[in-house]
Amino acid sequence: MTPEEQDAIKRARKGRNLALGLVLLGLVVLFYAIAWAKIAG
Amino acid sequence: MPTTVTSTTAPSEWRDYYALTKPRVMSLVVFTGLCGLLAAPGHINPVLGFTAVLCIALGAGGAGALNQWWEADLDARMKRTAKRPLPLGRMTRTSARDFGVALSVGSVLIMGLAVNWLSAIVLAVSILYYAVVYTIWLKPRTPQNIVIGGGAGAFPPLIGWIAVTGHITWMPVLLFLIIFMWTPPHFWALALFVQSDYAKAGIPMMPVVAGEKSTRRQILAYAVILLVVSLVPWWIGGTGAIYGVTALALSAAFVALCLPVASRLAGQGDTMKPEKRLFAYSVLYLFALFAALVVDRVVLGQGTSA
Repeated sequence: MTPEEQDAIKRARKGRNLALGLVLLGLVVLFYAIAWAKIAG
Repeated sequence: MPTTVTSTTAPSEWRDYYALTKPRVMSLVVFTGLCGLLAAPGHINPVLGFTAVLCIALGAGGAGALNQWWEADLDARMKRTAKRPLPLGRMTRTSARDFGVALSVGSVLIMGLAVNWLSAIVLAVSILYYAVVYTIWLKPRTPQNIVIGGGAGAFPPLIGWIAVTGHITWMPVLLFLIIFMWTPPHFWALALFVQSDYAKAGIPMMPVVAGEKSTRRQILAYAVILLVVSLVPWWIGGTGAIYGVTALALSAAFVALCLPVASRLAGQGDTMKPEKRLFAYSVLYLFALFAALVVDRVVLGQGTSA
């Protein structure tokens, strides 16, 4: 595997991890909001 | 099931997973789902309403990913779909399958826990319907595949409505039927003017199997049924006159645009103007009809749960 290919793999992995992190963060916010909506309702 | 395994040639990026969810289909799903939710009688907490639409979108994305997991080999043989992540070998098929299952299961669970379990069940049924009944079972077997596939696209307003009311009544079922009847003329108009390679991929599309003439006749038949079905919500008192009159005008125009399509045959070097016009109008039609439904509800406040 060439260094370029290795770089590409690392970059893609970093992007995927970042996207997954944002999704998880979004779920935290969503569940928090749902919990409040349920308590208030 | 298809057996060829494509090897991974490039590392998959988050965009590849995003592409698996068929974002363009999702925009129509979100719109009709939201309209079902807004047109339903009763109130839903905005956060829970947002959650419901989000779950409908995620479920559709999951079903789209499962569809591409199953059809990877087929997609590779058609120009329109050859650039999807799986045919390009940008991810393994297992990743696509797991992603689709995760989105599907996740969206159903969140819907059930946050909104209500009836809408979660209908969401699950819609995903299974698209991924299994349509994609795996009937699409490769019958020229009625578009009619059946239309059923999958017809679920979102039904689910949005049930998210608010918690039960199934005639009105959400009618919204389902409207999209169900709308899909065949919408898609077949496109199939008539797009040189597609479905035949090459072995998918029995109506114009290929039953011929152009029969397809054109069926387009008109569905448009006439659509005209009637689109007016039923008004007749049964589920909506007011704003929706009723708008639906009458929109559906009459739909039938009028189908008439030239039904009564001609394409010649050599045909520009296919009537078919293109019908297709463009069909998209506008659905947006306008559902918008009218919401406006009717907001302005007249009518809408028994009939």
